[in-house]
Amino acid sequence: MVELASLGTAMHWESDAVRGNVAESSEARALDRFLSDVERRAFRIARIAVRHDDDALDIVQDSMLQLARSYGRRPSEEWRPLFFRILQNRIRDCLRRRKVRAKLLSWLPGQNDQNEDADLYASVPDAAPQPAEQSATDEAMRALELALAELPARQKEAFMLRNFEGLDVAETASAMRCSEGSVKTHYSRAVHTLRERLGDVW
Amino acid sequence: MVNRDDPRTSLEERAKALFDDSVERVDGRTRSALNQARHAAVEELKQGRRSAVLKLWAPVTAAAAAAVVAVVMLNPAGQEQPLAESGLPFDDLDIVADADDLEMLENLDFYAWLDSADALPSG
Repeated sequence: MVELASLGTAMHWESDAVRGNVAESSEARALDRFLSDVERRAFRIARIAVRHDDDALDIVQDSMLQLARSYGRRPSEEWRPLFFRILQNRIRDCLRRRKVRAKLLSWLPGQNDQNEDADLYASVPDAAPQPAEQSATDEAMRALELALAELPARQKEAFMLRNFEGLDVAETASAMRCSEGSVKTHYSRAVHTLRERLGDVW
Repeated sequence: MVNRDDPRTSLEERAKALFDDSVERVDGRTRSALNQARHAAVEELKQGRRSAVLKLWAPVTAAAAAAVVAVVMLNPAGQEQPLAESGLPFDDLDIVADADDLEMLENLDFYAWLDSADALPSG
């Protein structure tokens, strides 16, 4: 009798385990598909924001882990704005750390003549080797990146999320944790400023 | 409808096209690093799910394992008699079946001795 009961219990648990494994595989596949779709765009957005390859990679890696850890079991349609919210937070953290580092360095002897707001990475050349002949596309992209770098942070975020990633106004508001009206304002101001800066170049 | 004479629309389209081009040209080293990061994130999701399931089932699994061990030990190979007819007290079986920690599995030697002690003739 005890053997039959144990057998029945074992079969019940086995079917639960099979269901669990199926659900786990399904979630993992969905996350893999989503991250595969966004990873390169996320890297480029982070790279434009922080202007350093390795920092951008670290940001994307941290964002992926955080999404899996904290939101992996949420419905997959929520992942996109959540992921880009995490990404923007990581970008802000990185830039904040740089500012603090720059301030600390400015206190060191011999560093006082440096501008406190100097971007430490401004003089760092791009990680990728530059071709001898710059194509028109490369030049245009470089001009765009420089123009974006000079935008206020919120305008830059709104422009990259709406234009580069293709988030709609509601998703962008969720990612930026602001109202939809604010998103529209930041975006239109960004476009206006970029047109002024790039009008002659483009 | 897209108005191609609208400079604002042209700027947005051009910016998007440049960005998409830069995405396509991400180098191999970066793609490999992103690939590894993605796999790590997926593995993180799997580990998190397994930990949650383990926490839920650990005490039940331990009790079931103890019950199975008790059945095997109290009904050695060759004996087809049900436990009740073997004369073994059900109280002992209940105690083993109620065990809810894995330490019970570490006392297998004790239960084997107990079993052999019961088989010895008295007196």
